[in-house]
Amino acid sequence: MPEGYSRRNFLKLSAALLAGGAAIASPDKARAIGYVSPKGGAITEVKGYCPFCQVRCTYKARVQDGKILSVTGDKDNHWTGGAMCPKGMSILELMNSPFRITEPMYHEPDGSWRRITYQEAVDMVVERMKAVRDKYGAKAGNRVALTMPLWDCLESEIAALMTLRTVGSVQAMPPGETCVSTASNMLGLMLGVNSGSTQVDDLPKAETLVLWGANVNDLYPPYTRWLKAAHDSGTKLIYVDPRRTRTSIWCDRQLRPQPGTDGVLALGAIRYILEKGAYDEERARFQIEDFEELAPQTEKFTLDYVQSITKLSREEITSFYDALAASRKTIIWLGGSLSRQTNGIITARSIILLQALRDNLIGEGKGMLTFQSGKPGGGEELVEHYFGENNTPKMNFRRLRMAMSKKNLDILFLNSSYRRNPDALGVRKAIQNVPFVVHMGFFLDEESEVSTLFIPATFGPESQGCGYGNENQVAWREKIVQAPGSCVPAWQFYRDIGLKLDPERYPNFKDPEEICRMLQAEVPSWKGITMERMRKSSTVTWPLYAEGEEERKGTVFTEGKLLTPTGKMVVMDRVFGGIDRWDYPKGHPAGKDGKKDFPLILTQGKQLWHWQQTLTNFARSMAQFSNGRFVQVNPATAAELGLKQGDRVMLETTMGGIEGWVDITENVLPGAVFTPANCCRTTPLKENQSESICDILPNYWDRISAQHNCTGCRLRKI
Amino acid sequence: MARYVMVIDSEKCMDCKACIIACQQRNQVPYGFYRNWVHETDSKNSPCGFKFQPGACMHCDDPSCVRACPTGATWKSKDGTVEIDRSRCIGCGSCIKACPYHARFRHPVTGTADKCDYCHGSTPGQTPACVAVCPMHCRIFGDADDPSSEVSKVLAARKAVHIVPLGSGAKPTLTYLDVTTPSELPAASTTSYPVEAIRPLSKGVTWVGGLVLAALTGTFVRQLVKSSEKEDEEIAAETKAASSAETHDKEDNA
Repeated sequence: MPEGYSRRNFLKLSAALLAGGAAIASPDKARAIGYVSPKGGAITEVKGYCPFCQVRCTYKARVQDGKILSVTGDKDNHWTGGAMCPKGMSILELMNSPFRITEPMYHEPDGSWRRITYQEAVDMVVERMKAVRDKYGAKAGNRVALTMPLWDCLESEIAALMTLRTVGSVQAMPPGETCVSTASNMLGLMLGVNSGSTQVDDLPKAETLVLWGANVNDLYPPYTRWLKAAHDSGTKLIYVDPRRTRTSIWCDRQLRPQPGTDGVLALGAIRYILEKGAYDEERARFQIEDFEELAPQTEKFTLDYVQSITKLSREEITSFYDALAASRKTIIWLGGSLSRQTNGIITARSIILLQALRDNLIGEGKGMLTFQSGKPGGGEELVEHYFGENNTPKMNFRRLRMAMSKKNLDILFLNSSYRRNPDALGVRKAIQNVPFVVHMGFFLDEESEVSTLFIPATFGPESQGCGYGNENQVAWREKIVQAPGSCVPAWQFYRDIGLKLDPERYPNFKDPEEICRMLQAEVPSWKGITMERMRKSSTVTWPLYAEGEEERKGTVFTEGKLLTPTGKMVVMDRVFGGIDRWDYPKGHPAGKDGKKDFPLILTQGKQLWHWQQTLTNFARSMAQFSNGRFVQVNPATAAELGLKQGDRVMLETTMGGIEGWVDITENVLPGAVFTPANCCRTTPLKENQSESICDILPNYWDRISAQHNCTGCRLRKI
Repeated sequence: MARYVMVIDSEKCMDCKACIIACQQRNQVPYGFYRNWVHETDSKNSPCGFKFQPGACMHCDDPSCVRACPTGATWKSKDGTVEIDRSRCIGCGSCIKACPYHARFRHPVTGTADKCDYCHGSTPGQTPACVAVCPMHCRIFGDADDPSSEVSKVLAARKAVHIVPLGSGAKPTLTYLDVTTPSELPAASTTSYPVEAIRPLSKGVTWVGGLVLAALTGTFVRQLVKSSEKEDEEIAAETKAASSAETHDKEDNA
């Protein structure tokens, strides 16, 4: 008999059992045992920020033993008040995703991938860059290009821009080119500031807020609190959007014009206000140089005309116009979709002129907002400090695409998704003409397919750096966790290449903090953005010209006039002409070039829990709420086409078709179709799988960038 | 003693689902399982075509889940929380079936019942994740007995609405403000037969357990009283017997 069974031991055992039993019988003591027993070292809180939209929510990460347990919105952040949206929280999952690629790879000509070391990858790029520099000399600059954004931080962007300059290139494509470029260009042209002219916390000071196509709740969920703040302080919220969305919840009223007709609604408003005399001519002339052109340019936009085009009722139109005519403080927020229609230039100009006419640009509770409301500058100044002034003209994406198609580009650093561009398949083909494509990314996605080299990138918490967001904010984050495998932050990759190519000019920095200090030393607008200040507060507003300087609040027109060279805007523009030649967006079924075989109006846009076509499609946490490629139609349209809820259809344009399922809802107007902008083909998560919507969107040109919304389409039951 | 309550202003909810992800991440709930939710109801009156109703365990005052549990692994705590002790949960699923709100699920990793615990387990003393992350501040959490708490103030100022499934005697403490859609839930399913059958059985188990415990205590006391010398003698005798047996073995082998 083993000794363990002696009576003495039995006694000890039974005593222990009794004590344990007593503890379990008492709930309070049981709680002390712990529901989820804490294991591991002490838990600390570290600040970080979300990489996705421009709100740039800061968060506090609970970190234990070098691992993030959870993230919670940062309560001290003035702009978010501690809110976060699901997208931002998905970062936690994406960092540890089983689908993440963590080693550099070379794409063999037969399509297979060969694992290589980080050093090999860097050497390969350096060799290619040197070859281009040797072959083309001073002309090498236009043989190398880069697409932004880099998923990382401001410092990575600066490091990449400097690497381009080692071969004389300045060809970095801004990410917003297809999203908000029309609005930013028009704001720059007419106001002298290419983003919003005020800040979102000014909304409660306005009498009226017009969300003109601006679906704030779906795009910037944490900013909904500012709509609520405005609502609670008595601001009237008017939402102009053909589609009913989450934003509708917070608005006092919604106007649902036909998609693509917003310009007519704005031009009609100018005419109405002029006719009623509801403006101060002196103030209007102070802002509009050729004020006398306004009346003849808007003459044809009578109430009847507006009604016939927008299909709104007379009463809806006049009550909207009366509200605009009476409001002494109006802020207008331009939605992204306005910029995605080829008539967006006239729409944006008309809305800005409308604000000037009513003297609603300069002053508190007045102005314009967009979905790219301010990005801190200074990065290019730093690049020029080291590499001298740049005299090469920059390409836009259209020219880049042409260069690629004609095999005039040797190296492309493909950082962002090419699928954001209309005619994505055409863009893909063009990229395939580039002999050396470097893709910094996370997953084996569509971009990897067209790349020669895959470099595994890092997520925010894996490197320090500062991010920039709306309201010109700068947010600092520390490195929280170690990146897996051979993942490197973009600043490190571009630095390692740059130092080998041009060790004399390329500054040798060891981390983003050092670049930040360089900014503070060399760029006047960064003087006051010290490390201490960034570390202490959630966000800091750029620019700050001196240490301790107070951050700007509210309008950018602090001098009481517009920031254009003349302090004024014009109705008759030298390049864009007048505003009277309004027309439907190109490809619109009701427009001149509308095709009768494609009678429905196709609109597409973001969904709350997805960031474009990229990372979030690889997150299970987001897939929980995804419905794949749904195609929303009005019940009347569905009845006409004999479609039932859930039917499989081909959504077809003149460019081709993609498969989806029918969701019947009153939220879209009869004759219109809405489908989400996200979804990708390469995600392993079925819920997010679909061909890109941009595959079937035509590449129309609005003189600024490629646009595609409101093109004609049809649904074919399959 | 605090009396914790969650209050929800559902009219403010825009269904962003941040509360759901925040909860899953904070409490290690695998994606696809939920401690909280946002119900969507078609509504012609809503500007966006839907009414949204965030929810979670109602932390009922007379919880049917507690009544259904055969092992006493779940109980209504004095601070208002309906608690689960994972170590006592046998994963039978009775409580999951008994909850008319479908607030419970079987955790695929632990195999035990799981539900909202106001984040007590993961982050004791901190604001629950769903409350902290909500952009609209729809969810308010705090001590209803503390007159200075936000919960008390909002409960004093606005109409409290509880949703009780038809035919259910649930006394939920999770409170909606003024109005919420839907205002009632479908009839609650009555506790199923197997669970009803388990109840007398579990009572029997409790009695048998009690008797065993009493016997054990008796033995324990007896052992305390009984002289340990006697026991030592017995052990010595046993050892002796064992060693002599070993000798026999050796002889046999030889």
